[in-house]
Amino acid sequence: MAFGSANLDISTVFGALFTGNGDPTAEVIVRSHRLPRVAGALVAGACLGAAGSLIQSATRNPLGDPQLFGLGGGAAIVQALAMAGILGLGRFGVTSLSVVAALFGALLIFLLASRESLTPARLALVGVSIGALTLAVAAAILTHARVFSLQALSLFSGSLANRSWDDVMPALPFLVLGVLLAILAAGRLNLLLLGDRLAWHLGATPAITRLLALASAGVLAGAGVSLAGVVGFVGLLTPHVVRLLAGNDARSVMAVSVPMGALIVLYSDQVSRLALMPSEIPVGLVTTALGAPLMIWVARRLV
Amino acid sequence: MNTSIEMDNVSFSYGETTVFEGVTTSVSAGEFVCLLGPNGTGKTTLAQLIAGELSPTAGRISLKADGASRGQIDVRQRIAYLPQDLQDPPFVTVRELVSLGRFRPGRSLGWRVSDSDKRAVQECIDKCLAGPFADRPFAQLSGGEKQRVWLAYCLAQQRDFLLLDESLHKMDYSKRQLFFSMLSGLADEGKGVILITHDLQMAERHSQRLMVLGDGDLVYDGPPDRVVYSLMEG
Repeated sequence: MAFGSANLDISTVFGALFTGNGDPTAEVIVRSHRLPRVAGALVAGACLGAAGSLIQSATRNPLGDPQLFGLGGGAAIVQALAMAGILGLGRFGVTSLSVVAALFGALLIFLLASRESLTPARLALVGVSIGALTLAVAAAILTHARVFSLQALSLFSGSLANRSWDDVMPALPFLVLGVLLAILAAGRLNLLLLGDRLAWHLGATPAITRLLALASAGVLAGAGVSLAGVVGFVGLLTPHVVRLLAGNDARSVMAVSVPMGALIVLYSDQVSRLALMPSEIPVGLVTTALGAPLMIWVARRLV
Repeated sequence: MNTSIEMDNVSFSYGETTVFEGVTTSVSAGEFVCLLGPNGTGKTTLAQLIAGELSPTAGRISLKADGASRGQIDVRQRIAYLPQDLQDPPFVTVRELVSLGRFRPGRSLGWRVSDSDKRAVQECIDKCLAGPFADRPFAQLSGGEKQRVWLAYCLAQQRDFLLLDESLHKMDYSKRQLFFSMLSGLADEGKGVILITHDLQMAERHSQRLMVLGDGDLVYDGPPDRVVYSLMEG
């Protein structure tokens, strides 16, 4: 929080945060600009990281990612409609509608993933196609409404610039709801890795677990995208990093993906803010730069 | 306790195509049965019927156990079924995969692999000679190694019956021999083992009973006999 177009020293930041009797300019910068932005990065990252881990477990697919599987796309259309001024809803309404749109994407993946014959690579291809289609629709809406350049870029590449508390707060209840749903599914998440057939033979009902997990992923992805736009590859990257650190148990992967996603987006956002100061790169480009090579590696090794 | 799988006049057809008609037989715990037959005679279908994935179009398949009345028994709690051509579970190591076999429906949320589970898992891994690669990712193993791990996964479930659909065919000759004799040993310990296989020589040498499917019925059901060779050619 100290660094940026205006560099503040640590004690000024602390003063602005806690004592309230520091430099008034610093107080405005820290409290109304940098603090909500940090919070936004943490919440968006937590949402997208957790959503990614749930999708990977629920579809048995190491390429699972809310954006790649088209969950984020539905939410992006809603965001585009909102930016175009077509939706006359408040922030909370837009976030809720994004969640609903992402849940549609999740339902589609649910229907596809229960077919055993669909290999992980094929499922990923179908998801990428849905994702591309939804983003094209979102782009068409923005073009039609003549919303150009920076705003559109911040949606498609993901950005946390100029986020205020009004943007962050509506996402919070959905983060909580998503995590609660995930906890309900968590106990049996591991069984999904076996595939429906073997899980059923062990005496479980895999469809219910998968439905819960993907519903949770939908809620989280919708909230994440409505807050930060399409921050690419966070959902893909986070669970793989977590597995290296915390092992393969789907429950711990899910649990650790929440803080890990938050940290990844937070630090990526710092890079995006500071690397080419005073102009900014969208945070999604930073995460994509990290995630895309990983995806190539995963695609070569695991699929 | 004596448990058995009873097939009473079982018929099955996919739409118009009849797979088999009027199969009547039974398999008891403590038996090692090899199910043979040319491709397309319905061996896998029969396994799916026994495992409860399919229901017979006519006749009845039931599991009988002492002290339990019919309808009380969940087939899934009695039979460890290993289908053919399984997709690799992603992410998991060998040990994690075998541990999943310890899952019981009653303990879902907060299910932890207990110490006794861990010991059981280790035993199954050792028994199936998977110790040297117990902590490697499952997806990286060779075909034969994967089959050994799947067997350990089945053993970890501790069911009365093992129902194995071509679960040894990717192993090399000496390993296959070893596992055939292990299955025979399991039968001696009281488990029922049904193995679908094309390996007539091994089946003849290690199992107590051969069943041959052909032309929509069981064409042979009895102790290993040279007669089976001529049936297999037809």
